[in-house]
Amino acid sequence: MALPRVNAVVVGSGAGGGVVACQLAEAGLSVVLLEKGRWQSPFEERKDDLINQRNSSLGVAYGPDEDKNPRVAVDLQGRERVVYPRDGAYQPNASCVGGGTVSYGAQAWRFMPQDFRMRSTYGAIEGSTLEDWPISYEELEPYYERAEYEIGVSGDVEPNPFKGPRRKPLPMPPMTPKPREYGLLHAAALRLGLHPFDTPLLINSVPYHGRSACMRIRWCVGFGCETNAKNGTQNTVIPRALATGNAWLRTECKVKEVLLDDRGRATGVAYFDENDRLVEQPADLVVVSGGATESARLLLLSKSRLHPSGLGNRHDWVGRNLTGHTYTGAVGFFEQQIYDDIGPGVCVSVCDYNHGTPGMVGGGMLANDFIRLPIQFVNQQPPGTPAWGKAHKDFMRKYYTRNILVFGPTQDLPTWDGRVQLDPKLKDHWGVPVLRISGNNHLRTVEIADKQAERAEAWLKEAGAVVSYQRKAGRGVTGHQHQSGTCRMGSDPKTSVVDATCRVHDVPNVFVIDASVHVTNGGFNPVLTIYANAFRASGLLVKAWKGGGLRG
Amino acid sequence: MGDPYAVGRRGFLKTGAVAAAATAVACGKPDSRWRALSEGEAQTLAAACDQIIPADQDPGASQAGVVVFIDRQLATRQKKTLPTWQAGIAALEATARRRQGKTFVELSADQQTALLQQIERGEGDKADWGELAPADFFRLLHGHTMMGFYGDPRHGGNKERVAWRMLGMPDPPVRGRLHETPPPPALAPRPAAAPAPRKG
Repeated sequence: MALPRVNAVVVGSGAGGGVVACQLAEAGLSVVLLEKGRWQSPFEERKDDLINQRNSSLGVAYGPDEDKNPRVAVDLQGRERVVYPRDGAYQPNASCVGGGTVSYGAQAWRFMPQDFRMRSTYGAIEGSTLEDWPISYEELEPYYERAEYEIGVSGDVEPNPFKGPRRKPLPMPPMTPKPREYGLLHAAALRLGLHPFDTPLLINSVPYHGRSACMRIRWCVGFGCETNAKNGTQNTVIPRALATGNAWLRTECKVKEVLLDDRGRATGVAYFDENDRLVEQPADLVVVSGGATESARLLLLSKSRLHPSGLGNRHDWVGRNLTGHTYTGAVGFFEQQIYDDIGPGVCVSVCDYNHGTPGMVGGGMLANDFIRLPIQFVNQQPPGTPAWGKAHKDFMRKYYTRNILVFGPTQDLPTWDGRVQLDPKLKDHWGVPVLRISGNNHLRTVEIADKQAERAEAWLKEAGAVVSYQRKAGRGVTGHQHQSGTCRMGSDPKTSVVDATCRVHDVPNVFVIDASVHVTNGGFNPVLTIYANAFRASGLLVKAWKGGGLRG
Repeated sequence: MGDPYAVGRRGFLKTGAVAAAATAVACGKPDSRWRALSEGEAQTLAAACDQIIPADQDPGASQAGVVVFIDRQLATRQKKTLPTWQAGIAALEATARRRQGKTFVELSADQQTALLQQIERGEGDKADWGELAPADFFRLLHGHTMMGFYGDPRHGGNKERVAWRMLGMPDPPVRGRLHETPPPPALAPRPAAAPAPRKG
């Protein structure tokens, strides 16, 4: 079945695709936005601490379907295992209208200027495909601002001396009142000579764009927001796109491949609709925004005579350089009461350690964590404390309300072997080959990440922790909600997948606009960069469209 | 013991009608209070869970409904793991019988602790455990006891939010909205069954 032709089809409605659909529709293009998951309204939000994005012990709440989308994970010993979205090795991200932005913690970080030129800053690193971005912080700055204002960010980053230049302050003030953790950690950071400030969040501290302010509950990160105070694409740019009358959102549509003609141009996409019927959507241009794992999969699946190994994959770069973040930090236990039930929790951060550690590469931001629910605290006892029995119960009673977790995302070094590829055997529910995920964390990443854990512990001790321990780096490839890098942006077609405008090198009308194009992923939660780059790339796309260069 | 599937007065009132309809078609052993486990398995499991989280000034695992939680999981979304649980429980019993000539429930608290510590370390006789790795079963038991005790009450454990109250968390967890959803018809309350004969 083929549908009427449209100007653009956008695959995926997360941070990248939502912005693109909005920008194209507002520029007058007809747009079909395809989303694999459902539309989950804030009014049906029922928080469940065992079924969410942070704890999926019993399931995932925001997609993808748990049985229909297996993957193959290869561990450090090379053993293969079929995994499902509940499993961390799946490198899961949400799959619903808004993608990860429905249930994220919503930290709103700009990368630092050095994060765009890691290769120039640190030189070639053995075993890593480290490279500079083809664009600079300065080029992205106006779009960071648009993301902050159009999606909505609260916080106060002015006291952060390490930030890149910016023209405007954040649109919303930090949340008040501040939790007890703020006072302790802020003062301790100052005593250590650090530069603490209020964490920027894509959460309303005051009413903004017609939606309410945060009600400060404990169930935030990993959950949708029932008062709609957490800003994602589902409650900002997607409603804007639909309001133009130029955009159509179709949910539960699983895109199978990008269709190509004999000249190597895309003619649209084929997808399975909500009733599993195979449908073709013809379009003048295709934007792939499925997140770093699924976008790479779609390019690899789109094979044709001119692209026998998949779109953009002439030089075998699609799916490689998979990076998320290596999270390390420390847990501190205090004599006095810390817990005060003022969500979302994360409120104070430092960027003193993002760069400049002698002999090491990169670093990352450190901040206190969101409120951890009891089930997320049960395995946080210091080494040596029994994990069960009376001692466990005593630990929980004493320390659940007397602990702080400080941690952060260490910037990962991308590697050639940290990758996703199509599994030769396993297929999903629709008969489409699934992803196979493999690779290791780079040892230089492990080294700096463990250093970050030491620093987090020192901060907690200065704040008065009587007992503390470090959470060290894992050794496997990272991805998860911060997945990035698999369709690298670059000016050389031999060593990248898309150009600086996010257009696939050897296809004139296919774009990848999401974290897949990140050359490196910063020492920060990446979502604001995804938003900003999507504003930038879709602006360039509209310009090219108006110039007529994209019409077949 | 009360009905293990009681969902609290508010939930019960809401689901009463559905429940009445569902009772007629409920599958499983009609005389059992459990959906997936046998009465004997449930008793063994209760004793093991109470080792993981023992009762003291606050309720222990079984009082908080952890066995109800696990049984519900094994009847619904984790149906596939039921054979593993049954094998693990049987292996615990076999080990207790072989070493002490008693059922697991009859062992003293210290003996139960020692046995669980052994399986946590992965020590177990092949004759009792077969293909199942004792440490894997312990992880399953430990993980699910934690989930049942500290997790959301809608799944049958953490009865009346005992764990959250024990930790001093303010109530209710979510302001301004009905937090819990009623259970699906398949998990609706059953009328109280005749008490099971005590084994021993």
